[in-house]
Amino acid sequence: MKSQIIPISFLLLSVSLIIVGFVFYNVFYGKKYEEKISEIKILDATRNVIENAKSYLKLSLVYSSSRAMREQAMSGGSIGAGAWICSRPNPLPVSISKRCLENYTQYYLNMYAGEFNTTLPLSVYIKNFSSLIYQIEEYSVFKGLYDEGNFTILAKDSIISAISKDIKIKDIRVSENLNISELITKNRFWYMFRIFTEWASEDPFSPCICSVLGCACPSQSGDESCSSCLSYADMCAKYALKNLQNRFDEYVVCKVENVCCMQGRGPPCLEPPGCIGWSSKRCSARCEHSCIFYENLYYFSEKESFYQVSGCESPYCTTTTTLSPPTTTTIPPITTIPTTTITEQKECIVYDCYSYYWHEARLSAAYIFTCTDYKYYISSPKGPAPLTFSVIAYASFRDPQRCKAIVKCNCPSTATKCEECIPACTPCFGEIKTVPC
Amino acid sequence: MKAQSEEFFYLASIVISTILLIFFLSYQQSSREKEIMKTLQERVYGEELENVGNMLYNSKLPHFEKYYIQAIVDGALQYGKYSYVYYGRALNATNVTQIIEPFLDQSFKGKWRIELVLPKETIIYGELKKEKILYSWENLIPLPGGDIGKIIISIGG
Repeated sequence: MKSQIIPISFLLLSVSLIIVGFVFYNVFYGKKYEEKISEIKILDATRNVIENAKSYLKLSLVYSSSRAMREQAMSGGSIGAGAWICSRPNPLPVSISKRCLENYTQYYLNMYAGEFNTTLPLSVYIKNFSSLIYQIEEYSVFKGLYDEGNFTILAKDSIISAISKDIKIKDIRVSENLNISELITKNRFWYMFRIFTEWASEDPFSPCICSVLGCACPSQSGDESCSSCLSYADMCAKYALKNLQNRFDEYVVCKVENVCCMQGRGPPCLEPPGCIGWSSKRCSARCEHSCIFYENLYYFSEKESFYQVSGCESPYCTTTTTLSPPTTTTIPPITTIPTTTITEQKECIVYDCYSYYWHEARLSAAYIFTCTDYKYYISSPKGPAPLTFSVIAYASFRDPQRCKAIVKCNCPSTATKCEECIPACTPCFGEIKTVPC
Repeated sequence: MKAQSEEFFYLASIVISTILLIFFLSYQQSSREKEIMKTLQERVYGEELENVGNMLYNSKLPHFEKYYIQAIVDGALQYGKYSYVYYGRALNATNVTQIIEPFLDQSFKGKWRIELVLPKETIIYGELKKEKILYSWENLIPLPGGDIGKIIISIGG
């Protein structure tokens, strides 16, 4: 029996050693293995989060660009654009619109990037995109190459980092440089831009306003709300609208809205004749184009716009002002002075003297031309909506000799010739006659 | 006789302990296998969900040239639960449900659910009930007005 104790205890010892070994293996080596597996898992999750962030940013770029394009189309191609017709052709340069689109798209994209987070125990940090480029050539815009979109936006120089928050495992950090690009299709921003540029360059509005300047002749003051001129200004706006509408295809619908209209009469007898610029104090528009960058800009409705047209609100001005004293000329009455002749028959002297008189006519009108493209809808906060492009057309003229008339001269009783009478704007002409009273 | 029974006892205890050891080891092995299987399954489903999610974000609808996810978001913003989205006279409308269903059915055959979480409402596509969800994948969605939404794709049994 004693001889069997040794092999049995050896056997038992070996079995217990196997068990202990197995347990130790599981506890120590297995744990290490498990740690490695969870490290790989976290690494995988981190990479997935980065991939998700990339997908999110790609879509953000699409929405940022459509938001920038919608807003800028509403504001005349760039936020801060001046009037596209400013008493002369004044279309917005492509470079300003492009730069403004880039600034706003980059701003919105970085705003979206800042909102990204994850529910996983990871810290995600996205560095702002420092550069955003619309790959657009001015020459190609006017050739119609981007009429349907088909241009690329490139956002560059960002870094995405994801760091694990798990305290049991050593820090896992995954970083990647981010450059994203997106091909914009089915978007007619540049088509509308091109047509508006062609229209503004031809300028069907200002010459019309110049031609109807005579409507301002009955004005009572130097700068007053349109009364006699309103229908003429509207007629010019309708003519320009028709011209604009004819340039677009069947998918685009245009309308026009009056912003302000002022008329007035200026001092008499000025030179030279013809339309020259006038700056109405209550109806004027900015002619310089720029890109104003608002840091805290939010989506605005269709009605709101960034135009800054001084003067009265639409539809028409209601208040009148007398900024300069009335420059009316009193037309002298026909003067007949009774005189006595040798035959004692009463005779009268008729001063049939005339002179040319004129005064300045003034007219200032601004209209918003809005065209809506129903071909392609683009993303908006209320779902896809048509792209609306609005530009302002402004014309403000004065013509020193537009209101011309022949008036009777005021003659002193001693006058023997018309030249001795008080002239209006030109020397008096005609004759002084003696007729029976 | 006593010695013989003692010997038998020792032998029996050795055999029993060996059998116990084998059982213990095989139990350990099978539970580990189960764990590995579960991890593998999780990984496979996770990857499939990830693929579907990435495809929603990166694949475009042929005629409309919009990302699938964009069409889903645009549809939800334009007509809410009616599932339609209109992209203008040249493109006309499309039914969002008809885009999503075949797309997810080819991978998960009706056992899926998409939750679109918007700031004011949540829109659900698919017939899988919430309590039957096994695996989910989620990602944030930028919304056109500057807000952020979320999409949760779930699969289950």
